Amino acid sequence: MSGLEVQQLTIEYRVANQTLPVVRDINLSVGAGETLGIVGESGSGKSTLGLAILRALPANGRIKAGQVLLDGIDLTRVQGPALRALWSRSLRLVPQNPLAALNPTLRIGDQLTEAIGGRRQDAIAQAAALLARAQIADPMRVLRSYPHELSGGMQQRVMIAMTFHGAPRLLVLDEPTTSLDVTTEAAVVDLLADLIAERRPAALFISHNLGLVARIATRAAVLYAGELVEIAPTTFLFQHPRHPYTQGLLASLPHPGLRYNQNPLQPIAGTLPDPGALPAGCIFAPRCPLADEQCRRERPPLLPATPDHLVRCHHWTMVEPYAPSPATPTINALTNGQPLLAAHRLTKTITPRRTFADLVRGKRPAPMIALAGVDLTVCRNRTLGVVGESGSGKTTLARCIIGLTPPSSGAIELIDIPLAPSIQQRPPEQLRRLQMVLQNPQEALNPALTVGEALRRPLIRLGGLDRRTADQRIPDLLRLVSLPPEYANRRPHQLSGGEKQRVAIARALAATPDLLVLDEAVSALDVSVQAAVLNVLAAIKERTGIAYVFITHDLAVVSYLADDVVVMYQGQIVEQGPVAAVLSPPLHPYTEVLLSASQPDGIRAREADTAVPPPVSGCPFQPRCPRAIGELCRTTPPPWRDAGGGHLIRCHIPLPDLRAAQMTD
Amino acid sequence: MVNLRRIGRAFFADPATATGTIIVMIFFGLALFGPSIAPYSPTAQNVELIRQPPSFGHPLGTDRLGRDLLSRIIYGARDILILAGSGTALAVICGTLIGVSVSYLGGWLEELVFRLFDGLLALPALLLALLLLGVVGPSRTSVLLVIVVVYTPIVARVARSAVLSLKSRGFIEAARMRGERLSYILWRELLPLVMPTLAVEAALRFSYAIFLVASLGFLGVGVQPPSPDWGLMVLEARNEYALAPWSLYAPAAAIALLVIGVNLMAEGVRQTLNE
Repeated sequence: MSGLEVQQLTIEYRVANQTLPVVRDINLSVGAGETLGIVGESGSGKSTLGLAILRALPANGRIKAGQVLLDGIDLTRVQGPALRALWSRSLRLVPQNPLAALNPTLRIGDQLTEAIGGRRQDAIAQAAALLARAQIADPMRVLRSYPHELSGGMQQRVMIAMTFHGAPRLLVLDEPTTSLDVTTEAAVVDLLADLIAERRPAALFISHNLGLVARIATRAAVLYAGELVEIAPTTFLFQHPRHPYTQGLLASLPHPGLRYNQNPLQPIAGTLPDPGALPAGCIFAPRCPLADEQCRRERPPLLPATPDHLVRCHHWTMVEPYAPSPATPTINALTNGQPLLAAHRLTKTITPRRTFADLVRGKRPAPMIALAGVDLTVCRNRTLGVVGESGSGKTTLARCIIGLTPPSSGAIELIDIPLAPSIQQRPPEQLRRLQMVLQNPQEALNPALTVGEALRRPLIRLGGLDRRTADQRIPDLLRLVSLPPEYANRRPHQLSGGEKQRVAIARALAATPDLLVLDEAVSALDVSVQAAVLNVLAAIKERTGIAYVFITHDLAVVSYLADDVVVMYQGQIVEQGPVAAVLSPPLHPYTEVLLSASQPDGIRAREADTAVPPPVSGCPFQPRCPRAIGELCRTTPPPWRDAGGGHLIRCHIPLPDLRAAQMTD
Repeated sequence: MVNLRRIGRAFFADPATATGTIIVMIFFGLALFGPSIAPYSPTAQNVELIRQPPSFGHPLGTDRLGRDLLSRIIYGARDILILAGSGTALAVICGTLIGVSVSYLGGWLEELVFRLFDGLLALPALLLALLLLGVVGPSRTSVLLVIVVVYTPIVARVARSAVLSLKSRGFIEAARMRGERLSYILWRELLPLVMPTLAVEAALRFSYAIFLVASLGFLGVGVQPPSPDWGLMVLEARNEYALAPWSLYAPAAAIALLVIGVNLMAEGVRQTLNE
């Protein structure tokens, strides 16, 4: 049989004198030219499965049982030179982080030709052709570049080009776009789909992103705690999941039409079982709303719901189709909250350190403009979403508001009190009123302090409580973020990422701030955990009247949680207004590009030509704009256009034309 | 906070670490109870028993003045452990204070201090020690001073590398956002996290300090006669190696054994803390 066939694959890891069966009894098949999505949250074993199929497990992992047949050959039995020959000819991996996979000391050309092999002249020609096929505009220049000279999207294109040389038979894509911006991700996924259709390897697309899997894969397998719980064609899987876990994942996923106050997300209760202590019956039973005695006693087999839809659940007939009723779009007028914080003409210029080479050449490094004059108003009891690609200045804006990075110029006022630019100069009362939660939950808590100690400190410093009263408040704070009070005695290494981030939120909320800035605070979390945190944030806002500045690259989260939104591009705001007005339908071409990135046939940004310097005086988005109208965009800064109800758009294209474009598309 | 029993078990699970720990403990025992163990006074001369090879009365033999080598080794253990130990402790304290605070503050101060330290480290440790001793003159206090001056920059650099990876972490920014005082951030948030790295470095520094003290003694610029200093004993025995080789073997073996013991133990500390 042509393609990949995995039979009863069990993989174990040796960790501290213990063997843990992290992936158990997996059966699946992928035909040549087919893409199978592998979906699961962190800890589901999806990457382990991918690496095991490629025979690339780390030293402490091994295939305990089962077969991996590729075109009829059992890969688990191949050893030594035969395995290396297979690796070089047939098996390919596209990893999550292209920069870590490329050798930083070698030019792209050298790395590509090494992978291709043969005569150097032929290899170079072939490499250039591959890069051109991967839609790289100037292959010869890229061949001469070192990996760090390329953008993340370009690096991943190079990896993809490297993957498709020769005749790959098996392709494992391990979260290939997770480190990329949504706009780049869209283009890379389009390219991958194209190449797989053309070269016809059997492909496994591993991802935590359900939407992405639905776009590229014809069928998808859902993994939970190392077991295959459901496998079906993607359209079936997403419209009518038969496993309660799949159902739970979908109900946790924010997508357009859902609002926190109308049809909230339904996170999955509980946490992943410890791989050393798995439940006796169904592995999902402890978290399942349908679980009964039978589920806790016997492990369900894979049952056919339809011939090509298999589900590992005793009660799959009881799982309802997933169809949330869409929210009625309501535009909360800007008037129902009084201004809390205002920023005027904020700029931030970062001057890179002068290196020794610069000094010798007598050259000053070019300053980088992170913020180019941002005006912003945050209102009480409202959530302001800040969206944009990486490098758009979102995080710099947040850090300037908080004072962790003093702005180069401009002013910030809290109601009417001017705030000092640097955090050191702000009095404790102002510090109390503004708090921030940072992106990386793994670094949010001091590993040497218990959760209780971490929460006690802001209560004492900013809340003005003595130690005893502060300790009495800690259980309340933990309950506020839906954690049990016993967690006060735990240390950070005993918590999962989601729990750490909830503690970080509780710590920021301890001294009852008026404004909480959340900088990509839920981006690193699994969807089911993210849903729980989003709901906690919404509940706290309803109860306390706090305002949020919610920074994210995920527009679905913004449309779920935010009341207002600002869209940033290269340190400037290009569109702002109430969330329903800005996002449905999107008017500014940049917002449109961001939104349609998640659609298979959406409008795409052009690849900016790095050789041409960006316009100095015109619209910064012009080089990439799919709707640019010519010379005007290049030479003149675009005007603000008022679309009514506080909705402002910065574009040369007149409003009626922008609206008309949305009607016709 | 640290589970002592777990550490103890880990220590003795590995034979190399266990050997090292036992060697070090024996030398500490000699240092503590030296006067009651040693059969003779370390400075008592006996003209009738000069350059005696090892025998029942003098297990390690005697030197050219008829002093009992075993007794001198035992008394010497106390000397070298006190000097190297207190020197290392002082260097670790100074290096930590300077390294943690200056690297957290950053800016021109960090630049100045660490360029200065780099300058000091550019000189070989022994050369720097000889220069210093040339200025202050040889004595116990000078040897102590030398250890502190030579090892403070090294410890500070180790502390710096640990602090640099920590200072931009979220929990430090959270502390800044609640207006914590500098001293709180340095000693309550950062120090506990730097401690494991510094513990390994301290153990390593201790073994180098033993070597340094012995080297200075051997060069005649450290502890002065008639103290039973191991390095000094090697120096004195060197001239009559042909006549009494045992008087060279005893102190040289003592130095080697102690340094090996401390190194094995340091490796154990490193492995235990890395787990």
